[in-house]
Amino acid sequence: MSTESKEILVGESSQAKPEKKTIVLMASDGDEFVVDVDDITNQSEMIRNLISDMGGTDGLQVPLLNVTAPVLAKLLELFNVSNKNDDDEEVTQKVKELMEAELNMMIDVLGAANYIEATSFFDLSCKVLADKFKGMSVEEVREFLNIECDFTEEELQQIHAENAWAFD
Amino acid sequence: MEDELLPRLPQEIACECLIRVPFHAFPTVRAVCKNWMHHLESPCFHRLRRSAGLARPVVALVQSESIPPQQQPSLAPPVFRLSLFEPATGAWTSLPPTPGRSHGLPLSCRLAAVGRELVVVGGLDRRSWAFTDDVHVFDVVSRVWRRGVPMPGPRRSSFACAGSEERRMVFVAGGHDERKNALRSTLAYDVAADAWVRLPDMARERDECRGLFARGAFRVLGGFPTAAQAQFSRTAEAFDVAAWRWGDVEEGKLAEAGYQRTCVVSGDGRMCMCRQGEEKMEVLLEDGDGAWRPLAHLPGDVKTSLQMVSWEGGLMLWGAGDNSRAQVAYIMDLKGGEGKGLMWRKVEMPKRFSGYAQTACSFEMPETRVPRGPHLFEDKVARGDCDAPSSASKADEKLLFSSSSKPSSKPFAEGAPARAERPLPVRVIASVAFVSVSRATQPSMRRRGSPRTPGPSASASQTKCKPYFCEQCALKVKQRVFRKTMHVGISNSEQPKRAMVAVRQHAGNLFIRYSGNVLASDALEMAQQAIPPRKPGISFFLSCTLSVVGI
Repeated sequence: MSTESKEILVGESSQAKPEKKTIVLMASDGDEFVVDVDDITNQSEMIRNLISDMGGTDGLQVPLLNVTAPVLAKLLELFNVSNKNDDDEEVTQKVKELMEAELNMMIDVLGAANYIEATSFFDLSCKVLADKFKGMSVEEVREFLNIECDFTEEELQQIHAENAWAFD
Repeated sequence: MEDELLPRLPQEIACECLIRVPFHAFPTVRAVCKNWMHHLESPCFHRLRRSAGLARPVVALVQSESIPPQQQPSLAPPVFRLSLFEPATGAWTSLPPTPGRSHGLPLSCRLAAVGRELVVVGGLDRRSWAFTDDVHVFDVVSRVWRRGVPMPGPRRSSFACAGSEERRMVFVAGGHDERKNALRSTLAYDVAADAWVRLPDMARERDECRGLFARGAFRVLGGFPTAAQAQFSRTAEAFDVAAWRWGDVEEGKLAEAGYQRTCVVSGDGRMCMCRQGEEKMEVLLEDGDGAWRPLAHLPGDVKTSLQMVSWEGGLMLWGAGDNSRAQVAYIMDLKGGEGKGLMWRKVEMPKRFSGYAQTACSFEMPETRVPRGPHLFEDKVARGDCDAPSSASKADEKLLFSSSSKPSSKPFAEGAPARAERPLPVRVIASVAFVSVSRATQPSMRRRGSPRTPGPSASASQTKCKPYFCEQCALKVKQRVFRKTMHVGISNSEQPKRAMVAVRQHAGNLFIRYSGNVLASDALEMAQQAIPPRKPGISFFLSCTLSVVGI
């Protein structure tokens, strides 16, 4: 293992219980993350299938082609929260905080979760983002996501006319 | 669409977020930018939303503008307009006014939902009191009204009306003409073709009858003939659309004679209706052979039931109290099962939405707008050995995606001469691509020094692997056995669009699954660009075809 590689142990320390199996996730920039097999298969369908196809976890190293180390670290941190809590409240809150603080990071985490097929976490994160739009005005959504309004003045007027009736 | 829906995110992931936005926030989402508007109006979006179980029922309601108390009593008839209500969120929305009807929708017009369109038929003109044959159609996604072809035949009022999503039709039966003759005639409005079709007559004249659509049949309930004014019958007749004929008159079908304004049909095809019970108002459920049994008492403050609407697993009731001015509304969730005691939940009605409920219907946001024009594609069922040139398949696919129809249970009634030329509705098995591979090898996922162990792992995955496709695809693909799975991340840094693709290998074919609604052509293009240089050991013949299955 190279000296600059990071090592994150997910779940209860696996050194204390050496019989716990681990696998290595490789971020796109080569950093390696050692994760507990149970913890990661609990979340990621892709890794679960991979392990069953490979016939075991022995020395398994999974390259995640387009997940960078900071994103992977954040994702594993959130998995950790999710694994420790039975309900989704805590992790929902964490994702919300992340969205408010670092939207880009949150979006990258979402993409990574989709990539490794962490279905329930992905659903939850999408819901957090969708709920955010729900209470916003059109202008706020544009500003929040930095989306440019590409309607012409006429189109905007028409949309406004259609929408004026939607709200009170 | 070249632009990203959400910055930094592949389209299909962004789409996963947008399908979770509740219906009442659609107007906001549409207005953000062109890309979002385009996306929200695409059939793909609604298909995905529905298959993810995120489509919730919406109640559409023609109601009067609520008049401030100080202006009452008002002699002018109230102005009617259309509102939407989402039982799941409790959100109300009103809709843009109908063009050319500044004085509101006709009095006692009928309302039916077909696909994502609401159809308002007939009624009385508020100013002249003349019967109108107007048809107004509202698309709930694009929020645009259009005029339909007027209802033919004698101008009628007090008729039965119901919409069928699977048939894409609105059925109209009975009522009375301008000389108060009760009618037997029946019509159907084909929303896609914007045309009316004449149906065979009913056996009986039915003025002031109620219409329901369930299980492939248009049912007309109650009503009375010209000769026996207001002597409501308890009979019903049902028009079997597939057979294109009316069934026998069912005697004693209804629990009570009268105007069946609260009669609705529940998810399992049985009818529900409200009735004055021995002590309290109650709602009854049809129990077969003309028997009815009480389902629940109505809430105590409902003295008169005004209107009821049902959806899969729920009921909504409008009622009036003693002084009959104040209208209340309740919802009952039927999903919990009858054993657990059904509870009414009061609906908060903002003042603006508290006006008299004249007619209502419910719909779930359907997958697609009613397709216009004929379907041009043929029934292509993909097989493992299917080798269509990829360019042609791309063209096919675009066609399929642009004009795909909602799965419909059968080709339209063979017995219907007027409709016989209608093409077979087909359903797209989205996102299944077949890729032939010349030399099947496990790519880089396999670690150096961890030899493949084909025996146990292969058999394990054979039994464990569930089909990897969306539920529509699963229909066809389920039967296949996947021997090997591999996961190949495909990314293409040159393009903003990225797709993550999981590949399953079987008998020399690779089955590519990609998440979200990214087009098969996009995924394959990326596979072509990304895989061969990076994954030595696999050479692809990209010969893909999109599978379509006739229903």
